Amino acid sequence: MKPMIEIHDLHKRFRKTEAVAGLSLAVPEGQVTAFLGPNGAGKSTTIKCLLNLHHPDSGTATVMGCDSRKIGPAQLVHIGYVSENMELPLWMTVKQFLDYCRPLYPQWDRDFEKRLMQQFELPEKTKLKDLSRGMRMKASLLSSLAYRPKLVVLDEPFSGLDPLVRDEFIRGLLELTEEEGWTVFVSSHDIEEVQRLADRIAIINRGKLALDETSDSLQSRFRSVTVALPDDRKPPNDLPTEWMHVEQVGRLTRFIASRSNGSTESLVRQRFPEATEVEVQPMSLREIFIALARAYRLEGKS
Amino acid sequence: MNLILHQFRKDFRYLRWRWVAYLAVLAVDLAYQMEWIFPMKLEDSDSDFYLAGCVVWLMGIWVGLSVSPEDEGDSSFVSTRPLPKLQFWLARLTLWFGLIAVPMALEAVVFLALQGRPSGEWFTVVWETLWSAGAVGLWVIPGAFLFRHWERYAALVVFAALWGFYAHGITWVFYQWTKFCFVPTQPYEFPDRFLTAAWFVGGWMAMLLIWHRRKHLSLVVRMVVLGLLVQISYTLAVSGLVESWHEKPLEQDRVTKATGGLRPQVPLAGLEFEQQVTDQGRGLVCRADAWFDETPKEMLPVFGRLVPRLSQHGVPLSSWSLSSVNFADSPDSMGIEDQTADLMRVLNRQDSGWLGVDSNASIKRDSWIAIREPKDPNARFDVELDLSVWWTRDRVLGRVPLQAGSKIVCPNFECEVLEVRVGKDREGQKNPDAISLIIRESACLQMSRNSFLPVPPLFVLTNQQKSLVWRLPITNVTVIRSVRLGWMQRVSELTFRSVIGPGTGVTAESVRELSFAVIKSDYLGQTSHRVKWGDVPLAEHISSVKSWPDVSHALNRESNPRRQLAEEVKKMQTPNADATLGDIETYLAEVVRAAWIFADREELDRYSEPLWPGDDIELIQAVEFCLKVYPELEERLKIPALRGTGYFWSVLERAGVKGFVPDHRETPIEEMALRFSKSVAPTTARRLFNDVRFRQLAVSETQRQYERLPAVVGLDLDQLLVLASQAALGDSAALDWLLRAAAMKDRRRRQDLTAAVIAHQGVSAEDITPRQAADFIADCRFRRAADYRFQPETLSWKFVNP
Repeated sequence: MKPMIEIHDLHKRFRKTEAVAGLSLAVPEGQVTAFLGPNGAGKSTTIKCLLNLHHPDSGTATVMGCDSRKIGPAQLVHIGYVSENMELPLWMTVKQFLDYCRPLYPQWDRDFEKRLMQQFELPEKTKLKDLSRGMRMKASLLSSLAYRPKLVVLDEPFSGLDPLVRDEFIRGLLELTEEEGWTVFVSSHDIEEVQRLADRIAIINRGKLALDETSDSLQSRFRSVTVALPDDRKPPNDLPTEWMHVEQVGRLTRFIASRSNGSTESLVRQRFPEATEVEVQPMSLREIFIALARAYRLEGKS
Repeated sequence: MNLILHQFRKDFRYLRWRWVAYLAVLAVDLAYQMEWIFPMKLEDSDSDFYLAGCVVWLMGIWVGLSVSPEDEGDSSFVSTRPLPKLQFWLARLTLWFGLIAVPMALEAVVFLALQGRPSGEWFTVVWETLWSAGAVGLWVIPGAFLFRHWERYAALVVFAALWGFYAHGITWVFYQWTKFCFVPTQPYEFPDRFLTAAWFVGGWMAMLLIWHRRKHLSLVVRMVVLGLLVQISYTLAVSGLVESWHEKPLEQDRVTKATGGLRPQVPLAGLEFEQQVTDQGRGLVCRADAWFDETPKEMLPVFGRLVPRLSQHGVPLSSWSLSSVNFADSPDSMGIEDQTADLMRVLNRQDSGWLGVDSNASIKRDSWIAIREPKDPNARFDVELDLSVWWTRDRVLGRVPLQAGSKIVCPNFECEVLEVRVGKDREGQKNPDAISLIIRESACLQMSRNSFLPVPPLFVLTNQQKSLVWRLPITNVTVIRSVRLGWMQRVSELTFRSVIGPGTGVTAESVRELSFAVIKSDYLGQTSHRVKWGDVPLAEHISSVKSWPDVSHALNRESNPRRQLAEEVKKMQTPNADATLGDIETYLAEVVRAAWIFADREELDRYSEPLWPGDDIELIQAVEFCLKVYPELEERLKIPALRGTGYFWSVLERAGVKGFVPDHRETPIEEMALRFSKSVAPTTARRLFNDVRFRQLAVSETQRQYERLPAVVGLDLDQLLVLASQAALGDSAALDWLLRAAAMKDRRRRQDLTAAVIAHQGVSAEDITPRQAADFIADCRFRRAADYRFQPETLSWKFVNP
């Protein structure tokens, strides 16, 4: 199946800062892809290039088979976009807001809209500016889902939401994506926000793609290893490069094995023949993300 | 659903309260223009109308610049929604025209309807308002998205500041560049020029917006580019490349065809270069006589710009403009006097003999250019004159009795006399000979249908009984309204001077017998002409600046200078009859020096008679003694101090002293004939008329100059001499004119008495004294040519109707 989004060697510079520096990425159809990276990594810039809000300096990006530079009403009618930075007509009530959005989409589903209204518990007659941040995001999400888009692009949609609201939001989104089979491209700086949603993880670091694989694949190859030694001797220097963040606390040596497989334990024992105990534990996506983020930061410093 | 209307409705919902505020401003403006509130008073500022228009437009621009917050910036809501850009912008356009332009047009229509104007004008004002709004919209619609929040107000301030500041700057630029052909127009005077320029340049605002969207320009860059566009637009508007609708000639083709074979008469003899000292140095300012012997039917020529060039061996002399404000080759700069080039004929088609009272119109055409005075003015130069002529058709819009309530009503112009103030000058000051009027005008002032510009109507007073016209009122105060709405209202105070008085025969009680008339000049077209002369002796055409004679009143003197001279001469030791030539010369030199010191004893009073009593007998006797002892001194005594008044010389003559009056020798008639064209005068004319050799020359030259005289009573001395000479030919019309000119003189003023003496020379071959001239003036006020009979033998007139 052709990817819903294809990015090839995308570059975008703002004056002296290269926000996107040769990003290449494919977002498969029908999956939820989380686009992660620290603040300033280039996530929002990438998304804006996809939606023709910025013009890339070089490289290509296609969305639903259309060059991003030519994205227009014919494509936007099938794209739902929610962003923490998006300007909403705060002076409108929820009803007025939806009344404004409805005619823009020929395939708007009123029944679906009503269902989402109930699900998100949005008060019709309240002005958007009088809603909480979470409710406002829900209103924005409703306005982007009611017409059953083929592609939903969420740019940091959970920023500033408290855990309960975020949980509601994610649950709602999960339900819908499972039901509708939409392609969702969601950016965030925190994997915890998206780990329940994401089928794939793409990490952008300093404008480039650092990682792009499924959650299962990530979780299957990352292991947290703890080695107990008889004394506080230092670990050897020639450890494999895929063993990250080696640290010693007393007689324990801990590290992250990023290419773990069934033979990881035996490999560890070979490297630490004096080890009294070797523990290999799976990692949560959050832990994997933190480890990777640390690694990227160290790369940047070096 | 129509997405344009959908987006428009959304924007309207956001802007509706601002729009209501705009409508309120329009409503208040309508009330103000209709004078339901703050009716016009002469005490108002004449720029209020401009401010009112600015407020309306600023409110409209404020609404037009307002954008829903969600539609602004990179993160605008609509940018990720399937609303086509074209429909978005069409929605903005609909907003601008629907909410701003259409209500503005409706206000104008309501105003015109309430003023009773025909429906044809309603359509014109709607179209013109929409056209104006389109020009402004080209700037406002992109500007709303080029700037955000407070930036918009900053941009408006930049726009207004540049508009005002640049007006002065561009004036200076064009002054340096063109020197002669630029008028610093103002937006409220020529709005259509600025709007046309805005149409041309406004499209670049959209380009700037696109550029900003692509490159995210900083605020400074956007402001600078906006500033440049404002300056380009302003420059274009005032450059003359853009023409205002009302500046266009009405019948240029007809003018070109009808005047194709005409050449202006510009005699070399009438060419003058006056020496003037200006900031740029000594220069020569050109004046020339210019007229057309024949003109096409119903077309009157008004001479405009006169541009002289002097060159020697192909090298032109440098020149500069005299005025800090240059005058364009445009009918807007037609002077009031120029407008009335043939006013009398226009005013009274069947009548003749009407004379203007309050102007000394000259047929001399002036130049506002000075030419660097050549080092050797005695050299010969090639002279070129470029003349512009505007052709007009003057129409009398109406003539009504001079009284409050009189009204002139025309399809596109109305004028009502609100008040007549007899004996009052501007702002109620006392002036016994003046009449001030408060008038109210209404004029169609639409851009494409303008009954006011380029040449505003001229107001005149006429006295049917005396065939007199006053045509140069001073406009003291003017208050204007509703210029923007196409039917201008104007209240003005006009003052006509020199109306009431024995000369005119108008009294405070007979003011009602005067008529008030309005004349309109229609600008038909323009022609340009060039006249050249080669090898002109410049020195013969240079005249120095005339200075007023310096006369000090006898009351300022402590004692009689004649008596002082007499005492001085008495103190001198008179030589004996056998004294040597050297002693006599020394004595004579002392006497002459004393005469020179007390030369002010020859001051004259207003009757041109000696101011100081005495007969200088001591001086005469001293000089006579010297001449008797050594007669050869007679030829040597050419001393200016002794050339005193006729009184002095006649005394010398009676005393038998000859040889002191070389200026009193009789000029040979041949010499008179040679110089006659330069100085036509009745005494000379009578001699030439009576000489068969020179009669034809003198008669034709007199008649030629007579026909060139402006139809006014305030002729200068040279013109009066011509008139008197024509009267001496037996022309009763000239005599009548002469009598009326004399009647207007002031018996208390010496210059007027001199003029009256000259006038009398046209009546009689006899001289009169200035005292007699005063009586002559009084007589002229009641006499006409019919009261005289011409005597061909003496070429004079005899009063036969006591």
